[in-house]
Amino acid sequence: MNETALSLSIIFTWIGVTLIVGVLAGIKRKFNLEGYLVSGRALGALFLYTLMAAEIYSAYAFLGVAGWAYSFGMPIMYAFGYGSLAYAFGYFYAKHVWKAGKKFGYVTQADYFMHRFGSKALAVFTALIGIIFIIPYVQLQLQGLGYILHVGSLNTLSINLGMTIALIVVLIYVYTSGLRGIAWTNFLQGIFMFIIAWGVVFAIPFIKFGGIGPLFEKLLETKPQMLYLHPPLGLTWYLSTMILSGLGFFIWPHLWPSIFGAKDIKPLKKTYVVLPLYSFFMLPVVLAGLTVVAAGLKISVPDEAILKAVELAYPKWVLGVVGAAGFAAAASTASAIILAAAGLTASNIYRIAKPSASDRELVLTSRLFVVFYALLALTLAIVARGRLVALLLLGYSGITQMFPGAVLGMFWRRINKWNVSAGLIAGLATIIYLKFFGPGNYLGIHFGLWGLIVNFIVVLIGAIFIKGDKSFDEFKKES
Amino acid sequence: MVDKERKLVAIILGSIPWIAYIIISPLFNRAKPLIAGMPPLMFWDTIWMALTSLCLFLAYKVEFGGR
Repeated sequence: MNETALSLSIIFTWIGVTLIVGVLAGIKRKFNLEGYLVSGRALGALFLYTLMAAEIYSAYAFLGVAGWAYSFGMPIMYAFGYGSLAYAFGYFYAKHVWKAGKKFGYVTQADYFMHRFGSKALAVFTALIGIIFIIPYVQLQLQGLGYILHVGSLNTLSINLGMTIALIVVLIYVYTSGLRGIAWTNFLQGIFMFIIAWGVVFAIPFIKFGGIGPLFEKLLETKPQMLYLHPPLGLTWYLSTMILSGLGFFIWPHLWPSIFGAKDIKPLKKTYVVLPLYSFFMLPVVLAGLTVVAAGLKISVPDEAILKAVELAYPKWVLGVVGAAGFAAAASTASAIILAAAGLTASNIYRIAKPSASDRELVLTSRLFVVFYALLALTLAIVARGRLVALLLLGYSGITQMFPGAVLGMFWRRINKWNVSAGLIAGLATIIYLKFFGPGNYLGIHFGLWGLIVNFIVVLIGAIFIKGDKSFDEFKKES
Repeated sequence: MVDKERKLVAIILGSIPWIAYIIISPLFNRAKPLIAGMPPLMFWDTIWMALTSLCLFLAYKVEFGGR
């Protein structure tokens, strides 16, 4: 067998295995919307952990992080930081999301916005924000999958063809199984990614340079400017992206169904105790990206750096193994987030537009929108390709604007639909202005954080005039 | 400890990672000397992934320990 065929067959065998597991897990389950989206709120700690780990660590962590390290060096340290910040925050916050979800039967994030603020319009608005800013996140996964099949096939498949094949695989995942099926495939994928990162990728700087120390000695000689932060991606960029992502992490609408899916508070908290350890797997990934720099290799698609690093150090068939792990990372996340976007559409837009819709109709709508969003992301990936880290940060910029409503709203009765909406609009207007018409990252601070600052100011000024929100009392009432 | 105190201690433990990354890590922004073979910032941000887990583990023990 030639090298291309061997490499590709490893990738596709793994895809086949995960598909079979996903389908078996999804079969014979009753498909009402709650079962499809939150697995009947019955997931324990181990299941929850792997589900979340595989859902969180995506093409961004596997390819994007290596690519950013390859292009810029130390700015990627923001990625090491924000995960820890997010989990330290989520450890305290997720409990409130879970409790409210159980008490009032929420299935999506927009359900919370509708009920807490007593506003259908706000539910639709937040659902739309969630959907719009999930799309770059899906696009990022598809691009990553395309790169994997491109390099994994030793350039036989084009990136666009790779993305199209990947899209079909992702659709099969989602279509057949819902959250429970994704959880099972993620269980396999989470373990596999971890083994590959430590077993294969971590060895790369050792094979090429004899260790981590010698790798950085070499970089000190050739590229010292990559080893510390300086503008344009200086300290302000590092700190602002870390804060933006650390605060925004738990506002991603796709994480809420997995929080609702938990059986109890304890397994949920245990998950966040252990998740920072899983982030360690970005260490070998960063080292691989830097190895490509130190080896003096110039590559045309920077986000393929990790794959190029594998090519540098190993026989070509190993690309198939690493490609399969990366494919797992990207496909699991892609399926979970597309499912979340479709869920928002069905339960918070379609159901509000047509209150008489039956459960069956909602599942059908949800499944149709899965295809629609996947195709939309594919189109964007083809016509407007971006850097993976930049795409994720774009998503965060929008998602984090829901922070005041999603977090302050849980505890403070001076937060109501008016100041939340005004803050959202002001925040979004700020990021759109800075990103498309203004100076971008003004003063080196990421435009998303500028949006959040403006958003907060508007919400707090509003809070001075709002005495209290009746729907807050309803929200806090013991049932 | 009563529940309120437990909760307060847990929250203090949970804010330590924020201090480590947002306030302290900028002090490590230099190329040399390499620590454990890594630039100082990378070393600090890496060990704090483990230390964050430790902080949250302690918070969990404080909140639920013995119960």
